[in-house]
Amino acid sequence: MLFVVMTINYALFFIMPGSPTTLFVNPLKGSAGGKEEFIKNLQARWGFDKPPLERFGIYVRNMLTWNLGISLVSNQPISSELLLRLWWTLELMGGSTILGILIGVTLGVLVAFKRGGKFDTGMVTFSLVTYSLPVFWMGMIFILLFTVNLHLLPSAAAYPYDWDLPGRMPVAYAVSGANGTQWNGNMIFSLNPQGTLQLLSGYISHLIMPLAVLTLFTYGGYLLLTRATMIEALTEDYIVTAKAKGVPERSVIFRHALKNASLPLITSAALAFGFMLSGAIITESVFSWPGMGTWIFAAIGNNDYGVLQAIFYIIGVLVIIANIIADVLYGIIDPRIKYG
Amino acid sequence: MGDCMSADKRRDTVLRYNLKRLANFLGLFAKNSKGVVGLIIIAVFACIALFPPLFTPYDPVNQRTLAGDFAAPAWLQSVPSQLGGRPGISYNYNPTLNPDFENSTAPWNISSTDAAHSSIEPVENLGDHTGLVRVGLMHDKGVAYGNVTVSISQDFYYPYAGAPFRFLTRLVFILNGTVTTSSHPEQLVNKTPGAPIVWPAPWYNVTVSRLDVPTKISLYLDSIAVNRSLPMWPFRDQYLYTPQGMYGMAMDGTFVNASQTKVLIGSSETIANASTFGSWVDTDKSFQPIDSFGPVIANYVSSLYGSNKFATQVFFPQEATPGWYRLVLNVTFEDADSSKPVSSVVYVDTFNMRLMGTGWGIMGTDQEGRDLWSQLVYGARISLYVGVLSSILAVVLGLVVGLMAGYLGKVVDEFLMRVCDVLLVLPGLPLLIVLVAVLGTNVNNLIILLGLLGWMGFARLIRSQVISIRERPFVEAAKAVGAGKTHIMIRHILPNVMSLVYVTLATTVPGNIVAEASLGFLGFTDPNRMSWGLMLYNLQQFSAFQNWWWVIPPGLCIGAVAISFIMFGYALDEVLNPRLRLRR
Repeated sequence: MLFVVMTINYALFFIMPGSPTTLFVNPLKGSAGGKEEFIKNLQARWGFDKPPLERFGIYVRNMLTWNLGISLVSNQPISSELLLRLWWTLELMGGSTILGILIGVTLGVLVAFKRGGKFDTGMVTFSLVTYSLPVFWMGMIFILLFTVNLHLLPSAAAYPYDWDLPGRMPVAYAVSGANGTQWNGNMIFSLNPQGTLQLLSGYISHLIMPLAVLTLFTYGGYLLLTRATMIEALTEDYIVTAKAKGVPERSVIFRHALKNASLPLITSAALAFGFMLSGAIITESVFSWPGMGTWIFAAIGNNDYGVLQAIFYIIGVLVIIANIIADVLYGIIDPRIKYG
Repeated sequence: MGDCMSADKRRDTVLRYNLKRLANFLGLFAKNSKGVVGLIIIAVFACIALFPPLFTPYDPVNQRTLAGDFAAPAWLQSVPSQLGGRPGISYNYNPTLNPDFENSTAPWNISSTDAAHSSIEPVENLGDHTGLVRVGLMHDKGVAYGNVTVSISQDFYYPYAGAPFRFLTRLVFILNGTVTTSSHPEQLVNKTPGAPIVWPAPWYNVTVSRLDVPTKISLYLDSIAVNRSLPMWPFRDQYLYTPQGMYGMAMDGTFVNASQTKVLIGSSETIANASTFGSWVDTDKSFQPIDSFGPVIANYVSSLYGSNKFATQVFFPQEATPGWYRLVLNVTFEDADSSKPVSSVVYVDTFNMRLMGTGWGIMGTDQEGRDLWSQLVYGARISLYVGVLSSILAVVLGLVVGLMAGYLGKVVDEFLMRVCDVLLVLPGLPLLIVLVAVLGTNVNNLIILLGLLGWMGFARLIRSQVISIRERPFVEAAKAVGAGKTHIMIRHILPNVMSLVYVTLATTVPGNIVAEASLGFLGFTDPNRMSWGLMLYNLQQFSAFQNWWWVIPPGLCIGAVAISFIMFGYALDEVLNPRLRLRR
């Protein structure tokens, strides 16, 4: 499976027209001879002059040994930039996925239990609306409301622009304080409460809007799914039996119905976590969030295939891992499911 | 004969049965209020998508500068500002009457500083130009009259409380019948903050073959209500034509030699190559009271409706709008040389002014002055086209794969399901963006890609259904009769999964519409086809979030279409799957 994903990744970017060299060589300027030589040098440096099969071998070996190569554009190791980007995406996507699942499942259970009522109709309609509205538009409406009209929240980036973070894990700054200086190991002890407070408010004010938009976007799906599976489960005979036995209502809902209704939920949640790294291109570009999504977007614009290959590979690995975890969870929740 | 009768009868029975089923279905569907509402909304959008010219007369992409850029909806003028209205917006306005001087010079005031020696008269035609004003200065050798200025002016009333976004003047004239124009490039002058405003000055480089006295053409826009000596810039742009060449006068009053302005207009070849003598000078130029140079673009968007700063200071001063203004054309003969006879004539063919407003139409305009309402109308076409066709493609693919995998089983099933798995593991949107970027931002490409990347879930669903159907007795029976695999798949299994096909078709459309809009929003779409996503992309590029009339409608339309398809799909589901109907 992994190998197939790698092959597709490789083939996809192998057949892609255009070359990253165009970023460095202006096709309209300079003499033809010098240009050709320059391109040739660049290609030799990046290994583009080797035969395709050999390149494929190198690629597979590098991916397996977690050597993601260097970004053709920034000339930095991809893995180091990946770590930076990963933090921001995890902060945004992880937060919104967890919030979305919590809110969606809770409301879904409530709604399924009171199905047919006004609350049910209202919630289902509302979540259908938020589910089908384009997420970038919701982001724009938030900006229109909270930034343009109310002047409450910043509309772009993940931290105040004057912090001038030189590109390290923000966790380090969370410990060291937001004075904008280069972080080093000693500063871990120079905690400044005021600075920390300022830092927290800086982060949170930037996080609220994208997080809210993404949560609003994701919770609807979980609500509808939970509602559907819960209604299915609540009509089963064993629920009637449990009720007849005099099992408390809460216990019926959570221990009998929800447990049985949770299998499709786990599948969908596992897939959501797998695609967490790629899912936020749109939200990230609305809010100029410095995460993986904007990185992918920039890499496409720059023909930076190395970055794209690495990201697609990592996403594939994560999705496979998430599916395996889902399978394991299946086995725990429903012991009847066995894998030979 | 008997056979034929029975076949006819049989066909009749089948037809009657199908009609009854259809009537039954329609009756059930009509009872489902959500489905009916969804269908009506879809029908409305389909109507808009099919016949956009019925709803708007404008071209959404190619008709630029219909009004000022970023114009507000016209109806906001009558809404009080407490309710979010903009009483200060202006509309397009053509104040000049009889700009072509056809038949008479009636509304124009024509005067001269030396009426005795200069001549001003209407002329019926000159070549193929009709309706002109001839301004001339003629005398023999031995005298000179100094500077003689002939002025052609018209007063007009400007009715709006706010300044226009931009004004355009057009002046068509010919000097002495012997003028060569070489080029008329647009030249933008960058403005540093705090520096005096420099007009974007297009230099009309004119070489003159025979001109007896230097002749200066200048245009003014004067405010009548306010004393002209106020420190505001009157609209003024001057050209001085001399026997040696053309001099332009910059706004700060310094003369610029034509040879120096060559750099501004491009290469010197244009002057050497121009050899059409006696050609007309047509200055159809636009004056924008705002510096529209790149870096300050965000600044000018915010200043446009906030304080109207540039526009009011440069053009109409606050205390004078609305009010009376005067458009003036001055022709000055600098008659200083008495050593030769003079016969200088200027024919003026057209002199007009057009004001582009800050309010337009139902939804205002975008960054190039294009009509936003027509963009919304034409956007429906792209959205529905892409959404429906790509869903059909995806559903058909999923159906074929699901049928084959489910019924044929074994190696086919294994292979198709592995393909399915691999495609599901690849990240959807990034992959779509990469492929669109590679294959070109073409609507048909997008449909094909959305179809090719969207069939997997449905194929799995169909496969599981087919696996359970193929064990049913009627399939057994068909096999026993000796029916082939294709026949069984198409005639026996397919009808049993068709209800799923209809429902999935309806519920796949919204996702694809949103995907199309998302790609448009990221800029991966055909810029020559206006879509709702592209509208929001343009908006985002210029951060014009405060133009709520631009932000809200495209998203609402996407949402409305998506929700109506979902409601329609759910209604179909309830009608076609009786089990669901009982349960709910």
